[in-house]
Amino acid sequence: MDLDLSLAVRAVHVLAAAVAVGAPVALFLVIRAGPAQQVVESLMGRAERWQWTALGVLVATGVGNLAALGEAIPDTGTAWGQMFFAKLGFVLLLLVVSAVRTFVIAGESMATVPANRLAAWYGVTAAAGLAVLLLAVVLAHG
Amino acid sequence: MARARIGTVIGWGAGPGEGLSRFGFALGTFHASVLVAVGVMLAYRQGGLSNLEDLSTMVGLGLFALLWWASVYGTRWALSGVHGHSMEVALRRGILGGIRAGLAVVALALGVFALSLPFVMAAGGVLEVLTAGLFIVGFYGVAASLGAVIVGGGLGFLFGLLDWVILALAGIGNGFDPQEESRHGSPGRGQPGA
Repeated sequence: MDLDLSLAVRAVHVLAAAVAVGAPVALFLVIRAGPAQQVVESLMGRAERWQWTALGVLVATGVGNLAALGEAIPDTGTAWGQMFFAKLGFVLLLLVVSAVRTFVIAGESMATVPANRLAAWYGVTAAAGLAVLLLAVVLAHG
Repeated sequence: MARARIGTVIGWGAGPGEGLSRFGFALGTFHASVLVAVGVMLAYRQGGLSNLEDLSTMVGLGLFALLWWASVYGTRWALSGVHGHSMEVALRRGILGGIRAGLAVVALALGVFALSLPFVMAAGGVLEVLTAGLFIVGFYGVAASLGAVIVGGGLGFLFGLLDWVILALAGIGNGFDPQEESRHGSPGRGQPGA
Protein backbone atom coordinates (compact mmCIF):
# COMPACT_ATOMS: atom_id res chain seq x y z
CA MET A 1 0.00 0.00 0.00
CA ASP A 2 1.16 3.51 -0.75
CA LEU A 3 2.80 5.05 2.32
CA ASP A 4 0.75 8.26 2.29
CA LEU A 5 -2.49 6.35 1.86
CA SER A 6 -1.45 3.91 4.57
CA LEU A 7 -0.78 6.83 6.93
CA ALA A 8 -4.14 8.41 6.08
CA VAL A 9 -5.99 5.14 6.74
CA ARG A 10 -4.20 4.76 10.07
CA ALA A 11 -4.97 8.35 11.05
CA VAL A 12 -8.68 7.86 10.28
CA HIS A 13 -8.58 4.59 12.25
CA VAL A 14 -7.20 6.37 15.32
CA LEU A 15 -9.73 9.21 15.01
CA ALA A 16 -12.60 6.72 14.66
CA ALA A 17 -11.32 4.86 17.75
CA ALA A 18 -11.27 8.13 19.70
CA VAL A 19 -14.93 8.77 18.83
CA ALA A 20 -16.09 5.15 19.26
CA VAL A 21 -14.59 4.93 22.75
CA GLY A 22 -14.74 8.58 23.75
CA ALA A 23 -18.48 8.97 23.17
CA PRO A 24 -19.58 6.25 25.62
CA VAL A 25 -16.99 7.37 28.18
CA ALA A 26 -18.32 10.93 27.99
CA LEU A 27 -21.96 9.79 28.20
CA PHE A 28 -21.17 7.57 31.19
CA LEU A 29 -19.62 10.49 33.06
CA VAL A 30 -22.27 13.02 32.05
CA ILE A 31 -25.28 10.84 32.93
CA ARG A 32 -23.77 10.00 36.33
CA ALA A 33 -23.48 13.73 37.03
CA GLY A 34 -27.29 13.95 36.83
CA PRO A 35 -27.86 16.74 34.30
CA ALA A 36 -31.25 17.91 33.00
CA GLN A 37 -33.10 15.35 30.90
CA GLN A 38 -32.93 17.50 27.78
CA VAL A 39 -29.16 17.55 28.05
CA VAL A 40 -29.01 13.75 28.25
CA GLU A 41 -31.38 13.28 25.30
CA SER A 42 -29.55 15.76 23.15
CA LEU A 43 -26.16 14.24 23.90
CA MET A 44 -27.35 10.64 23.47
CA GLY A 45 -28.80 11.36 20.04
CA ARG A 46 -25.52 12.70 18.79
CA ALA A 47 -23.46 10.08 20.61
CA GLU A 48 -25.43 7.16 19.13
CA ARG A 49 -25.07 8.45 15.58
CA TRP A 50 -21.40 9.30 15.98
CA GLN A 51 -20.51 6.08 17.72
CA TRP A 52 -22.11 3.82 15.11
CA THR A 53 -20.54 5.76 12.27
CA ALA A 54 -17.17 5.55 14.03
CA LEU A 55 -17.53 1.79 14.60
CA GLY A 56 -18.15 1.21 10.89
CA VAL A 57 -15.18 3.38 9.91
CA LEU A 58 -13.07 1.65 12.58
CA VAL A 59 -13.69 -1.81 11.13
CA ALA A 60 -13.14 -0.65 7.53
CA THR A 61 -9.86 1.12 8.28
CA GLY A 62 -8.78 -1.73 10.56
CA VAL A 63 -8.81 -4.06 7.57
CA GLY A 64 -6.86 -1.37 5.66
CA ASN A 65 -4.21 -1.38 8.38
CA LEU A 66 -3.89 -5.15 8.10
CA ALA A 67 -3.47 -4.81 4.33
CA ALA A 68 -0.59 -2.38 4.95
CA LEU A 69 1.14 -5.03 7.09
CA GLY A 70 0.63 -7.69 4.41
CA GLU A 71 3.26 -10.45 4.61
CA ALA A 72 4.61 -8.92 7.83
CA ILE A 73 1.59 -10.13 9.81
CA PRO A 74 2.91 -12.63 12.40
CA ASP A 75 1.55 -16.19 12.47
CA THR A 76 -1.44 -17.17 14.57
CA GLY A 77 0.75 -19.18 16.97
CA THR A 78 2.79 -16.16 18.07
CA ALA A 79 2.08 -13.92 21.07
CA TRP A 80 1.10 -11.17 18.60
CA GLY A 81 -1.35 -13.54 16.94
CA GLN A 82 -3.01 -14.46 20.22
CA MET A 83 -3.18 -10.78 21.17
CA PHE A 84 -4.75 -10.02 17.80
CA PHE A 85 -7.42 -12.68 18.32
CA ALA A 86 -8.11 -11.21 21.75
CA LYS A 87 -8.45 -7.75 20.22
CA LEU A 88 -10.91 -8.99 17.60
CA GLY A 89 -12.84 -10.75 20.37
CA PHE A 90 -13.15 -7.48 22.29
CA VAL A 91 -14.15 -5.68 19.07
CA LEU A 92 -17.01 -8.16 18.70
CA LEU A 93 -17.89 -7.65 22.37
CA LEU A 94 -17.88 -3.86 21.83
CA LEU A 95 -20.20 -4.27 18.84
CA VAL A 96 -22.61 -6.58 20.67
CA VAL A 97 -22.71 -4.42 23.81
CA SER A 98 -23.30 -1.33 21.66
CA ALA A 99 -26.11 -3.12 19.83
CA VAL A 100 -27.79 -4.18 23.09
CA ARG A 101 -27.51 -0.61 24.42
CA THR A 102 -29.00 0.78 21.21
CA PHE A 103 -31.87 -1.72 21.41
CA VAL A 104 -32.51 -0.63 25.00
CA ILE A 105 -32.62 3.02 23.98
CA ALA A 106 -34.70 2.54 20.84
CA GLY A 107 -36.96 -0.17 22.21
CA GLU A 108 -37.98 1.71 25.31
CA SER A 109 -38.50 4.96 23.54
CA MET A 110 -42.02 5.30 24.84
CA ALA A 111 -41.19 4.23 28.36
CA THR A 112 -38.86 5.40 31.04
CA VAL A 113 -35.48 4.01 31.89
CA PRO A 114 -33.56 4.82 35.08
CA ALA A 115 -30.59 7.06 34.40
CA ASN A 116 -28.30 4.71 36.29
CA ARG A 117 -29.26 1.89 33.91
CA LEU A 118 -28.34 4.09 30.98
CA ALA A 119 -25.07 5.05 32.62
CA ALA A 120 -24.33 1.36 33.23
CA TRP A 121 -24.77 0.52 29.53
CA TYR A 122 -22.49 3.36 28.48
CA GLY A 123 -20.03 2.25 31.16
CA VAL A 124 -19.93 -1.34 29.86
CA THR A 125 -19.50 -0.03 26.31
CA ALA A 126 -16.67 2.23 27.45
CA ALA A 127 -14.96 -0.66 29.27
CA ALA A 128 -15.07 -2.89 26.17
CA GLY A 129 -13.76 -0.03 24.03
CA LEU A 130 -10.92 0.73 26.43
CA ALA A 131 -9.93 -2.95 26.39
CA VAL A 132 -9.72 -2.80 22.59
CA LEU A 133 -7.59 0.36 22.81
CA LEU A 134 -5.23 -1.25 25.33
CA LEU A 135 -4.76 -4.31 23.12
CA ALA A 136 -4.26 -2.07 20.08
CA VAL A 137 -1.43 -0.24 21.83
CA VAL A 138 0.21 -3.54 22.82
CA LEU A 139 -0.11 -4.82 19.23
CA ALA A 140 1.40 -1.66 17.78
CA HIS A 141 4.28 -1.39 20.22
CA GLY A 142 4.59 -4.78 21.90
CA MET B 1 -30.55 9.78 40.69
CA ALA B 2 -33.22 11.25 38.41
CA ARG B 3 -34.90 8.98 35.91
CA ALA B 4 -34.20 9.92 32.33
CA ARG B 5 -37.13 9.65 29.98
CA ILE B 6 -35.72 8.06 26.95
CA GLY B 7 -38.26 9.73 24.82
CA THR B 8 -37.83 8.80 21.23
CA VAL B 9 -34.52 9.13 22.39
CA ILE B 10 -32.49 11.32 21.45
CA GLY B 11 -33.81 11.97 18.13
CA TRP B 12 -34.19 8.40 16.93
CA GLY B 13 -37.66 9.46 15.97
CA ALA B 14 -37.19 13.11 15.15
CA GLY B 15 -39.78 12.82 12.37
CA PRO B 16 -42.08 10.19 10.88
CA GLY B 17 -39.92 7.31 9.73
CA GLU B 18 -36.71 8.96 10.84
CA GLY B 19 -36.38 6.96 14.04
CA LEU B 20 -36.63 3.73 12.08
CA SER B 21 -34.11 5.05 9.60
CA ARG B 22 -31.58 5.90 12.29
CA PHE B 23 -32.12 2.66 14.18
CA GLY B 24 -31.72 0.81 10.89
CA PHE B 25 -28.45 2.61 10.30
CA ALA B 26 -27.13 1.55 13.70
CA LEU B 27 -28.24 -2.05 13.31
CA GLY B 28 -27.07 -2.26 9.69
CA THR B 29 -23.66 -0.94 10.73
CA PHE B 30 -23.59 -3.56 13.47
CA HIS B 31 -24.28 -6.35 10.96
CA ALA B 32 -21.66 -5.18 8.44
CA SER B 33 -19.03 -4.71 11.16
CA VAL B 34 -19.66 -8.11 12.75
CA LEU B 35 -19.49 -9.76 9.33
CA VAL B 36 -16.12 -8.19 8.54
CA ALA B 37 -14.66 -8.78 12.02
CA VAL B 38 -15.65 -12.46 11.96
CA GLY B 39 -14.36 -12.74 8.37
CA VAL B 40 -10.99 -11.31 9.40
CA MET B 41 -10.81 -13.73 12.34
CA LEU B 42 -11.51 -16.73 10.11
CA ALA B 43 -9.13 -15.51 7.39
CA TYR B 44 -6.34 -14.96 9.92
CA ARG B 45 -6.84 -18.42 11.39
CA GLN B 46 -6.41 -19.88 7.91
CA GLY B 47 -3.43 -17.66 7.07
CA GLY B 48 -5.27 -15.70 4.41
CA LEU B 49 -4.64 -12.16 5.64
CA SER B 50 -1.41 -11.73 3.68
CA ASN B 51 -3.55 -11.81 0.50
CA LEU B 52 -5.02 -8.46 1.57
CA GLU B 53 -1.79 -6.88 0.34
CA ASP B 54 -2.94 -7.57 -3.23
CA LEU B 55 -6.19 -5.70 -2.69
CA SER B 56 -6.12 -1.99 -3.57
CA THR B 57 -6.94 0.13 -0.53
CA MET B 58 -9.50 2.18 -2.41
CA VAL B 59 -11.15 -0.95 -3.82
CA GLY B 60 -11.22 -2.47 -0.33
CA LEU B 61 -12.79 0.63 1.19
CA GLY B 62 -15.24 0.76 -1.71
CA LEU B 63 -16.25 -2.86 -1.14
CA PHE B 64 -16.79 -2.19 2.55
CA ALA B 65 -18.86 0.88 1.72
CA LEU B 66 -20.99 -1.29 -0.59
CA LEU B 67 -21.40 -3.93 2.12
CA TRP B 68 -22.26 -1.20 4.65
CA TRP B 69 -24.89 0.34 2.36
CA ALA B 70 -26.42 -3.05 1.49
CA SER B 71 -26.54 -4.04 5.15
CA VAL B 72 -28.26 -0.79 6.20
CA TYR B 73 -30.68 -1.07 3.27
CA GLY B 74 -31.62 -4.69 4.07
CA THR B 75 -31.87 -4.01 7.80
CA ARG B 76 -34.12 -0.98 7.37
CA TRP B 77 -36.41 -3.01 5.13
CA ALA B 78 -36.47 -5.91 7.59
CA LEU B 79 -37.24 -3.60 10.52
CA SER B 80 -40.13 -2.02 8.64
CA GLY B 81 -42.10 -5.24 9.14
CA VAL B 82 -41.10 -6.12 12.69
CA HIS B 83 -43.55 -5.83 15.57
CA GLY B 84 -42.71 -7.22 18.99
CA HIS B 85 -40.28 -9.96 19.97
CA SER B 86 -41.15 -12.85 17.67
CA MET B 87 -38.36 -15.15 16.52
CA GLU B 88 -40.39 -16.27 13.52
CA VAL B 89 -40.90 -12.70 12.32
CA ALA B 90 -37.26 -11.76 13.00
CA LEU B 91 -36.00 -14.72 10.97
CA ARG B 92 -38.47 -14.29 8.11
CA ARG B 93 -37.81 -10.55 7.79
CA GLY B 94 -34.07 -11.18 8.22
CA ILE B 95 -33.96 -13.69 5.38
CA LEU B 96 -36.05 -11.50 3.06
CA GLY B 97 -34.05 -8.38 4.00
CA GLY B 98 -30.80 -10.22 3.28
CA ILE B 99 -32.09 -11.37 -0.11
CA ARG B 100 -33.20 -7.82 -0.98
CA ALA B 101 -29.79 -6.46 0.03
CA GLY B 102 -27.99 -9.09 -2.05
CA LEU B 103 -30.16 -8.44 -5.10
CA ALA B 104 -29.70 -4.67 -4.66
CA VAL B 105 -25.93 -5.16 -4.87
CA VAL B 106 -26.31 -7.25 -8.04
CA ALA B 107 -28.64 -4.63 -9.55
CA LEU B 108 -26.15 -1.92 -8.68
CA ALA B 109 -23.30 -3.86 -10.30
CA LEU B 110 -25.38 -4.46 -13.44
CA GLY B 111 -26.32 -0.77 -13.51
CA VAL B 112 -22.67 0.27 -13.38
CA PHE B 113 -21.95 -2.26 -16.13
CA ALA B 114 -24.77 -0.90 -18.30
CA LEU B 115 -23.55 2.67 -17.80
CA SER B 116 -20.07 1.68 -18.90
CA LEU B 117 -21.32 0.03 -22.12
CA PRO B 118 -21.41 3.22 -24.25
CA PHE B 119 -17.76 3.88 -23.44
CA VAL B 120 -16.83 0.29 -24.32
CA MET B 121 -18.85 0.48 -27.54
CA ALA B 122 -17.04 3.66 -28.53
CA ALA B 123 -13.78 1.75 -28.34
CA GLY B 124 -14.95 -1.50 -29.96
CA GLY B 125 -17.61 -2.69 -32.41
CA VAL B 126 -21.18 -1.95 -31.34
CA LEU B 127 -22.59 -5.37 -32.28
CA GLU B 128 -19.77 -7.30 -30.60
CA VAL B 129 -20.02 -5.28 -27.41
CA LEU B 130 -23.83 -5.56 -27.29
CA THR B 131 -23.64 -9.33 -27.80
CA ALA B 132 -21.03 -9.65 -25.08
CA GLY B 133 -23.05 -7.34 -22.83
CA LEU B 134 -26.23 -9.37 -23.25
CA PHE B 135 -24.30 -12.56 -22.48
CA ILE B 136 -22.78 -11.02 -19.36
CA VAL B 137 -26.12 -9.69 -18.11
CA GLY B 138 -27.97 -12.88 -19.02
CA PHE B 139 -25.47 -15.36 -17.65
CA TYR B 140 -23.57 -13.60 -14.88
CA GLY B 141 -26.63 -11.58 -13.88
CA VAL B 142 -28.69 -14.72 -13.29
CA ALA B 143 -25.80 -16.53 -11.59
CA ALA B 144 -25.05 -13.53 -9.37
CA SER B 145 -28.73 -13.17 -8.48
CA LEU B 146 -28.90 -16.81 -7.42
CA GLY B 147 -25.74 -16.31 -5.37
CA ALA B 148 -27.22 -13.16 -3.83
CA VAL B 149 -30.38 -15.03 -2.84
CA ILE B 150 -28.42 -17.84 -1.20
CA VAL B 151 -25.74 -15.73 0.50
CA GLY B 152 -28.07 -12.83 1.36
CA GLY B 153 -30.74 -15.16 2.69
CA GLY B 154 -28.21 -17.12 4.76
CA LEU B 155 -26.67 -14.01 6.27
CA GLY B 156 -30.12 -12.51 6.83
CA PHE B 157 -31.13 -15.64 8.75
CA LEU B 158 -28.01 -15.49 10.94
CA PHE B 159 -28.36 -11.77 11.68
CA GLY B 160 -32.09 -12.10 12.27
CA LEU B 161 -31.28 -14.73 14.88
CA LEU B 162 -28.51 -12.57 16.39
CA ASP B 163 -30.84 -9.56 16.59
CA TRP B 164 -33.49 -11.67 18.29
CA VAL B 165 -30.93 -12.78 20.90
CA ILE B 166 -29.76 -9.19 21.41
CA LEU B 167 -33.34 -8.05 21.82
CA ALA B 168 -33.74 -10.66 24.55
CA LEU B 169 -30.48 -9.50 26.19
CA ALA B 170 -31.78 -5.93 26.13
CA GLY B 171 -34.75 -7.15 28.17
CA ILE B 172 -37.29 -5.40 26.00
CA GLY B 173 -39.43 -8.31 24.86
CA ASN B 174 -42.72 -7.43 23.24
CA GLY B 175 -42.26 -3.75 24.01
CA PHE B 176 -40.04 -3.46 20.97
CA ASP B 177 -41.82 -1.95 18.01
CA PRO B 178 -39.86 0.19 15.56
CA GLN B 179 -43.08 1.12 13.73
CA GLU B 180 -44.62 2.54 16.90
CA GLU B 181 -41.62 4.72 17.50
CA SER B 182 -41.51 5.80 13.90
CA ARG B 183 -45.18 6.79 13.85
CA HIS B 184 -45.05 8.78 17.07
CA GLY B 185 -42.23 11.04 16.06
CA SER B 186 -40.40 12.60 18.98
CA PRO B 187 -42.81 13.43 21.78
CA GLY B 188 -40.17 12.91 24.42
CA ARG B 189 -37.93 15.75 23.41
CA GLY B 190 -38.06 18.57 25.86
CA GLN B 191 -40.69 16.94 28.07
CA PRO B 192 -40.06 16.47 31.77
CA GLY B 193 -38.85 13.09 32.95
CA ALA B 194 -41.06 10.54 34.61
